[in-house]
Amino acid sequence: MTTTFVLFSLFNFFIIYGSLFYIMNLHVTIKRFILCMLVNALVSVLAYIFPQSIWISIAVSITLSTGLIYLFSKQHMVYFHLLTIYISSILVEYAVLFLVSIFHLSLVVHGSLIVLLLTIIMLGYKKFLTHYNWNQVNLAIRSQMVLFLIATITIIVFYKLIFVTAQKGDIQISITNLIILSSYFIIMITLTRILLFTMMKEQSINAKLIEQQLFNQYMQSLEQVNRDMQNFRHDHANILLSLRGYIENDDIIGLKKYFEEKIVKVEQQTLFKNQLFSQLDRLQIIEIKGLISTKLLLADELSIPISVEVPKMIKDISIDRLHLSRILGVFLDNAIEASASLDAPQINLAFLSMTNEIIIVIENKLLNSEISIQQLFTERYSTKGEHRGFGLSSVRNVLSGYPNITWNSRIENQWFIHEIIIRERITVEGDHM
Amino acid sequence: MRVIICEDNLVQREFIYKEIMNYTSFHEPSIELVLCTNTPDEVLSYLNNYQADCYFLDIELDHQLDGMELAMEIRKKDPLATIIFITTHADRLKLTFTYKLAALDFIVKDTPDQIATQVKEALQAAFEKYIQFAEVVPTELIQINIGERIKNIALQDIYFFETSTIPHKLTLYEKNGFYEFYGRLKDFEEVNPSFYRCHKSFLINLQHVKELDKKKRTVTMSNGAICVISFRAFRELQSRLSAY
Repeated sequence: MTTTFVLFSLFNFFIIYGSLFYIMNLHVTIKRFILCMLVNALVSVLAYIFPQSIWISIAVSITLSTGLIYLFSKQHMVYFHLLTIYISSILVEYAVLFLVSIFHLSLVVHGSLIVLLLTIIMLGYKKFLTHYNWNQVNLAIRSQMVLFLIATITIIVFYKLIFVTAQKGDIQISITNLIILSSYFIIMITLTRILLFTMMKEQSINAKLIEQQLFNQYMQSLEQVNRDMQNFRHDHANILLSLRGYIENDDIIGLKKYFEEKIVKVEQQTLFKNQLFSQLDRLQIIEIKGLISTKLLLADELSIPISVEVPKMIKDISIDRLHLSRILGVFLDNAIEASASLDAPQINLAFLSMTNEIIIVIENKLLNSEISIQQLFTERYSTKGEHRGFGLSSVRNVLSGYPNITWNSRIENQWFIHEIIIRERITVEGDHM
Repeated sequence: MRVIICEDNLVQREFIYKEIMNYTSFHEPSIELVLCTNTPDEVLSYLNNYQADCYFLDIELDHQLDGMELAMEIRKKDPLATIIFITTHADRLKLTFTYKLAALDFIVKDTPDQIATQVKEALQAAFEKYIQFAEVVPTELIQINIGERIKNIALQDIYFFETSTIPHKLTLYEKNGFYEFYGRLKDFEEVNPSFYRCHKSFLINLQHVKELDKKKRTVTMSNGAICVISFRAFRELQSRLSAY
């Protein structure tokens, strides 16, 4: 009795933890192995002591394993993976039991059938996860709670209807329950999938709308530049006439002054603006283009010079575009706000593509670095985890969800500098290991 | 410090040459102008045999290699070289220069007076950097790469390190700001004797501790940040602090 029990518990151990480690891409180390072993041993002992109420050991097993694997991986999805593994292993066990009772198979075939079926299911599950990129999904806390609740209720119902009846000896009822539940489960999953799909579609329509708006803004700013150019051309004739006046009067000093003040300045401004838009042209992300051109116009109205540098074509950045436009909006708004009161303001913005990362730099001149740095830091720290002010809190919130992004902020020689370094997604996988 | 000028406009070249010679003879005789040319080829062939420390490069060279590409070639040979670009107003790309080529500075072709001051300042900064390389013991710095740009952070300026919810992502808080990078706290524990791991997710610099809160088991740093202290570390932290 005890040996079969130990064997069974070992079997269970390899099924559950093996699948978990496989699905979550975890490395097996001796420390992890021993810890999992300990949890498993505790669960088995509990199951041995309380054979009547198996729910105790199941509950303990789920909580401890979730906690342990969460410690290893720091991923919230552990719980769902674990429950999926539990439910599928129950399904597999029953399916195999059904086959065994029909064909009167031996214990070895029984065991290997279980392993085979489970392996197939796990392979499929992992493929499903990587296909839909589940590990990159950042769910809101509320939806996480809902998912958590659904998963818990499912496991309780499964336990109640299948385990309990099976233990009472009603294998027949238990199997009927299992079939009904499984079909119910599959239908629910399909329906949820459809629901999620429509929700995602709605979201993408919303995103399209925003994109459209930003694109319109970009078009408007281009038109503005065009108008400026036309004005410049229109002024051209007048400028030439004035020059002629100075030359005819041999007024070299006046000519010099006029040239410096009227021509050089105006021309520089127009050319500069043109150059800005030619730089922006290389940033092929329409939402960001729209956002930046709107901010450029805003800064232009406040006569704050902004320079934009995009030395190489950028087609895509490994960050959600709406997230990117939100944080850029915060940074640019801050920079413009801080520049408004300066005598010689300057804002520089650059999108630099390196071999496998993109660096976004935003910097603005500061008047008094001492005050600002204190402000920045007290605001950042005021209450940990809940940074107020400057909108930097929302930047922090957004960026902390991305393992492939780092953010530096500092004050250097009267410049307030933000650097956002976005690694390409492919390299991120390697970092997890 | 050995200086090279590459500028294809004769007037500009001679002007910059004159300014640098002026500066060196009056202020820093140890700065030596080793090459003054109008073509990148000469710079590259010079580099095949010798070394230089500081380069003044025109961006718009009338050659198949422009200043940017020349700079990249120089970077390949000498990652530590100081590069200063000479450029016209319209296409100044300050951030591109700094982050992609780790250029130290750039000089905008303006009125002669302004160019003169810019050359002087750039040369001064380059020389300071050159001196620093010789003096600073590398263990007193932490280097962070941002693109091609290398940021040196002096250990004494660091307040503390903190882990994040994402594995291997650390945040370093120092006098002028904060930096995020990939690494482990463990690797920095031994870097400086005044660093102390007071919690699983905090490594603090004891030099910057302002006050200790016994009740909440927290420590306030001199910049106002609050770090948590683990139960086990509290006593040791107290004794380490009293030793300061």
